[in-house]
Amino acid sequence: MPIVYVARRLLMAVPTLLGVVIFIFVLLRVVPGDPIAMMIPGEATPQDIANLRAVYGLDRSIGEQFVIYIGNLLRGDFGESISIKQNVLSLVLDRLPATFELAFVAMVIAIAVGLSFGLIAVYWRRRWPEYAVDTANAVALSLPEFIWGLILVLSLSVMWPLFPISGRIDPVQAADFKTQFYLFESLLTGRLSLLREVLEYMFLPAVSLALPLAAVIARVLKTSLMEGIGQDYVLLARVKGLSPLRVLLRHVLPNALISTITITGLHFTFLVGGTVLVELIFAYPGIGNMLYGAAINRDLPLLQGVTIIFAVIFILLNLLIDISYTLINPRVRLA
Amino acid sequence: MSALRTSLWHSIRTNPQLWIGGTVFAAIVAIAALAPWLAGHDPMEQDLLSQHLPPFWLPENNPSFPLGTDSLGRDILSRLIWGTRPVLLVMIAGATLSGMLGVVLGLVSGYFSGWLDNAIGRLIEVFMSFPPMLLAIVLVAVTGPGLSAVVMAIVLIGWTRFARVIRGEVLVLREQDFITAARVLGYGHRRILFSELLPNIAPIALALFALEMGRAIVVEAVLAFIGFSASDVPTWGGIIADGRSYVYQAWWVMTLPVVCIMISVLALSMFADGLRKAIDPMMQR
Amino acid sequence: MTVLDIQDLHVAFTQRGRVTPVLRGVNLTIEPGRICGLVGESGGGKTMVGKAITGILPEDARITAGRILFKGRNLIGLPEKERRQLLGRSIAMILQQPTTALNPILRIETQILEVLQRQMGLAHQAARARALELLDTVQIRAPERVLRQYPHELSGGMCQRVVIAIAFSCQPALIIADEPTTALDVTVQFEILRLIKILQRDFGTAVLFITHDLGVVANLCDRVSVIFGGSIIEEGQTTDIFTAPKHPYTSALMAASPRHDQPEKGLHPVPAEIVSQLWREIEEHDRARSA
Repeated sequence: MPIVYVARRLLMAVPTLLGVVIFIFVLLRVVPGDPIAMMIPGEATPQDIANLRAVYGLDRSIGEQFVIYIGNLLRGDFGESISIKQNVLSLVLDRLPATFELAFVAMVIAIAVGLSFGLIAVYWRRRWPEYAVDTANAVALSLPEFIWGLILVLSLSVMWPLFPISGRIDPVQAADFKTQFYLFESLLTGRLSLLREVLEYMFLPAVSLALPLAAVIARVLKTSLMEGIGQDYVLLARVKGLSPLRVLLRHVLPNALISTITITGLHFTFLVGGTVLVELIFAYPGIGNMLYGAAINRDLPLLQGVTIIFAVIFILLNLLIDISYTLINPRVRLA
Repeated sequence: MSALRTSLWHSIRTNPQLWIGGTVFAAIVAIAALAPWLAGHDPMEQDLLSQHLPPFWLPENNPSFPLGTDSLGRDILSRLIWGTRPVLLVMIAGATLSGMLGVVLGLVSGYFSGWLDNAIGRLIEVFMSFPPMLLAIVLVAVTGPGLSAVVMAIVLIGWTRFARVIRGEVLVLREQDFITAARVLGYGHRRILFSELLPNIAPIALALFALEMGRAIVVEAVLAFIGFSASDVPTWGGIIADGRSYVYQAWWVMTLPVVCIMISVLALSMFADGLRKAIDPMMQR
Repeated sequence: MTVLDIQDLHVAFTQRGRVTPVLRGVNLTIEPGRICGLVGESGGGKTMVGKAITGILPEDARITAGRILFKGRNLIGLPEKERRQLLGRSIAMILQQPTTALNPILRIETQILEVLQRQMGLAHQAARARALELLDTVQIRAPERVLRQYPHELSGGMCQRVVIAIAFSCQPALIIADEPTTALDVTVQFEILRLIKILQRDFGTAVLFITHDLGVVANLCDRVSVIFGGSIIEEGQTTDIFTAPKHPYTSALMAASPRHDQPEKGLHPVPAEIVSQLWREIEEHDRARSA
């Protein structure tokens, strides 16, 4: 029964989460390099350094620090950012909507493009559309997102200034928003010109993110569809005299989607990872971008907070994908 | 001699990826090694009278700076040539160390099973719960910038790929007769691991290695882009970051290193593909 | 008028310029309401004949010559739309593996209703009523429940009954049955064959029964064609063929059938000389054609 499976899966994620938390702790404390010394200006006295160390609890033993760390995390206290004097959690949550919207748009683009390309390649197989799709896939997959982002910036922002080169929106218009969800807010309140602005800024980063995923989806779907076409029930569907389009969409596609989702599921998590790079290139103010500021400033609490959030998102996403696969397949659902 | 030539030609025709990729890779190695003699200028030399000079195919260029100059008047061509060095170092060192760690853990995990396998499996899961670049950036943030930090970052995010694949292979190989025979003969675990299993997974490890090198280039480029790589030698990522701030005035400064990275990544993927293709018939035997 | 008249059918695989013939001048006629058996060994081309009639050939296969007249109309060269219409309403198929013949993610109801609604234009309620009738005809108990189920919840025999129900749903003039009982248990085989015979008689449907099982042919078919290497070796009334086969291959084929009631007779594979003689004739035929 699905409920049992979901519960079991959730439970299995807990040790991984624990491992992640421990890992971050270890990484940020036990690695060589004294963070405090790195962020203190030269004139600081040893007393200043000691004080700062006490403030961040770095003067206690590793064991004590760990206990405090876990305790704080469970209470939702991620500490205060060293560089930006604010609560880490609120800082991260403030930026999260931007990344979420970017990933969302990228996912929509990737799925739409990927599915249509896969279908096109199969519906017109052995003719030029199939070859065109194959080539496009190969090209998209040949380079990582970072490079594609750079290429897109150079070609569509610099050479032909069709799209803005960076940022999320014109700072003047940022004041028009009540929430951080620019895309959804402008959509739901019907402010279409604002929506257009938001999409303009989001377009290139979203496309860079979407490219590899779209290519994977197209490729996997094409293979699954081709496999499906050889099945007996497809033959009988054709003998029934149904149009090729109906056979493809009603009989072949649903079955192919199941295996496509299984295989491409993992790649959706790569999309989240890709936001780290894409936000960098396009100076898009999401949590990926926040990472860099934190890194450059050696802001440990902020670094820690962003990392944990990312890991949690990753784990949850994996969970979601596993569960959705179970629910889609009727054989498993009814078992 | 002629037989050697025909088989070489046959190999080139059936497996062009291997040879094209391999040649470009060799070219990069050559350029890096011969950098001091190939570069016309000192890559760090600034000439504030020659800022933002365009490359040779555009007007107002200065022929002594064939690919133009950046905002500090430094010769782009020389910087690109010298930039192959950190790339190569990081690529080879990173992929090798990452491969070694991953292969060993994969071997051990697949061969011994039990709690060791579970432990390593959990470790892999934890590592893979992070976006790879995130780990790299966090690590370098904590340890401070530099090429060794970059290499460490590559190892940290790359070993899981090796470990997973090798573990899978070992699980299959473990059941085969030659391993059983070795055990019956009384071979110790260490001997089985190194004399029997290792040679069999070497081809796959090699293909993964080539792939990892391609990935390493990107990691280095990104870290250099945010200024976390070496600062005493020019890096392609660094040039891109620099060129970005004045991309509208001197677009070539940002574009040319991107082209370099593109070519290198493509060449290495091709090389990895070619290796895999060459290995496949071997594995069928 | 005959229901099906295949004249000099040639089918070949064309891969990268290389032509491999599969059917070499097949001639076959089926009268309305009759069951015609097509027997032969694996690889003889039996299945390809069925596929050629439907026009749904494997990727590299092409019809290179001949005519397939269905009620007087040549199916080859018929415009797509017309062919599809004809296919759904007048020609149907039953396949060997019942479990893979039904789409695993669609309910039985959807799969039966599909052709009723689209080819016969029935409204949903009417189609559903008809579907229940059909399931009853194929002797499925609790048809209401079966409609709501998925293929993997049914046994092989039940799946085949559903496939048969779908095949007869539009009262087609011709049904192509490609080894419909080969994958079933022996007891179920008997029931399914009996079912096909009853339905065929009731609806007046002609059947092309493709099989390698001579026992089934003897019981079921009015006429028999024997196929080898893509051409018809012998053809005639079932009783004639079985009592007085004219071609040595046919008699060898019948002798090769294991007689469970006479185990002391042993097993007699088709003698190699007959087979090689046939292949020699085939090669000559091929050479003459490509010249």
